[in-house]
Amino acid sequence: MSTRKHPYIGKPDQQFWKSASGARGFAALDPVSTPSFRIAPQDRVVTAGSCFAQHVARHLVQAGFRHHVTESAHPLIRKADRDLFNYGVFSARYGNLYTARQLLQLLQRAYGQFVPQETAWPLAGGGVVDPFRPQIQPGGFIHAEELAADRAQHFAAVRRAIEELDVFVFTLGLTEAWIDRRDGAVFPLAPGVAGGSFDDSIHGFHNFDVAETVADMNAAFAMIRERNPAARFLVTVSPVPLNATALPRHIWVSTTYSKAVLRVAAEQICAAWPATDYFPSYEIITSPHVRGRYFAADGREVMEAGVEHVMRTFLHHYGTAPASASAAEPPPAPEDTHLAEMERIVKVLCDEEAISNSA
Amino acid sequence: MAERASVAVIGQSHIYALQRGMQPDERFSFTNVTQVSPDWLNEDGMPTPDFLANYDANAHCVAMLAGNFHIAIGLIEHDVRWDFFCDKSTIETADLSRRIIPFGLLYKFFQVSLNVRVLTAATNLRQSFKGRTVFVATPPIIATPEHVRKFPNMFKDKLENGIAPASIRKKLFDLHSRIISEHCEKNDIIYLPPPPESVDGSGCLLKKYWANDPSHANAAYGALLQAQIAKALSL
Repeated sequence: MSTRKHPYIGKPDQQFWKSASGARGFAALDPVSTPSFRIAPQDRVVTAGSCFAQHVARHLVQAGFRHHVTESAHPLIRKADRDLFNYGVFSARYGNLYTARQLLQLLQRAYGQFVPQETAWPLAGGGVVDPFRPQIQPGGFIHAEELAADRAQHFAAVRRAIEELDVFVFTLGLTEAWIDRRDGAVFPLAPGVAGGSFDDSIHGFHNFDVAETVADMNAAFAMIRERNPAARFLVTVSPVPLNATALPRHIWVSTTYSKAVLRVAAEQICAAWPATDYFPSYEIITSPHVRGRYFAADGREVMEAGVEHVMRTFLHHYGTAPASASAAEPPPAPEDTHLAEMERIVKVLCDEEAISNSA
Repeated sequence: MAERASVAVIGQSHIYALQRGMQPDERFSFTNVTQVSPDWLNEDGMPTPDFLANYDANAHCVAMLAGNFHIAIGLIEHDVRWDFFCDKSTIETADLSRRIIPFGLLYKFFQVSLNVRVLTAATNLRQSFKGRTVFVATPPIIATPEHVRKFPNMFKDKLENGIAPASIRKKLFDLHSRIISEHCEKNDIIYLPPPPESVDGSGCLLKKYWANDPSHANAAYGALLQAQIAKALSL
């Protein structure tokens, strides 16, 4: 009697298309295997990366995780204005970090290891923007001196985030980037798009490959672990397609290249570092199981239902407490009382003026 | 002799300097020179019909609204010490040992704070009176902290937090004034900056115009305002 024998015998359902989660209903899709760590409610989670990472940060807060924000607006400022000026979108006000090189250079700049030649891009209507976060400040900074002061505060916040974090969640977004040929500084947006002006002799295009992306991530993680040996890493790849490609080809071809590079790089990075996991948000959004339903009508924007699926899966595997019952969630920052108190005093003072101004 | 033109004076506490410094004027008749009641505006910044019924609709209008907002923001130190750069101020530097609030953010903060009670209200006053509308700047800051300590009034219990440096308070005054003057320029309202003779080289209020409290000006300043208003309305 012969017994069938091959390497797939006895393997779990998730390894087979027909039986893997999602096959009989997209909502059940759960491509996470074995997390190497959990995130406790009191753990300080620092987020960074492409625009998809903004969703991650927002949902972490809603789910009771401790999104560690080290660059807050002054307490005087109202929430609506804090949001408008991008405080709390990420742990510090670095804006979107689309490429691994951007992350590495942010860390190098924050620790004084790299000083790019470009420091400020003038705006047509006056003022300047930060070449490395050109959309962080609506209307820009009034002058280079103000930008320099804000940048100094920003770098201090970045250092604090790195040194105090328990978990670093980074979302790889793009491989295409514009660089300064003189020193290799990488910009999040092409010069001229949101400030500055494009100069062929200075600015060049670069499409990062797997080796470069892995090397940059390794260097960035090394910098973080050097300062924070217990740091745990979660790497994700943004499912959002490119908005534009600088290459003379269809944007979908550029998108598939970019995402393939990032996905392979993520795999290699996570294999190389302990306490470092790949979280498959890219797979959840783009899987054939969901048949594109998580993309908006433009085929690019990820709809909230998709983000919720990602975060539901994330919480299931990485959370240690029910999402809504996080005992260690810090209470929301109370509204500042200084201004209200001073306005009350001024009002009383002004009423008093009617009877006491004798001069 | 020609009939004197009616001038409705509408505003809060800074109005009393004008009231106390008022001199007889052959050309203008200043009416209701007293602080408005808190309910003079509806929530959209529109003067209520009952309020407007107290005034001659053909009059000129002098607005002296909410001049103390910059005082509320900056006279007493916040627990988180802060400063800011201000590009169109006599003081353009900032103390980098403090938290720096970006100017654009602070500008937005002021604009929203002043929007209904001051800016929209001024526009609505402009539309409610057939004469010209003049907006009188809030008095410049009293730079000397000793004066604030001597006459703290309602700030008495807050002095332990410290009085903010005059450089910061001056920039806040400049920002406050700038937002209002920009609004006036866009809305056909005559903006009157502080009388030039009332300020020192830094733009702070000269001692002879100080009232006995941390932020208001006195009758002598009011007399300067009256002359300034009359001149503006005569042009």
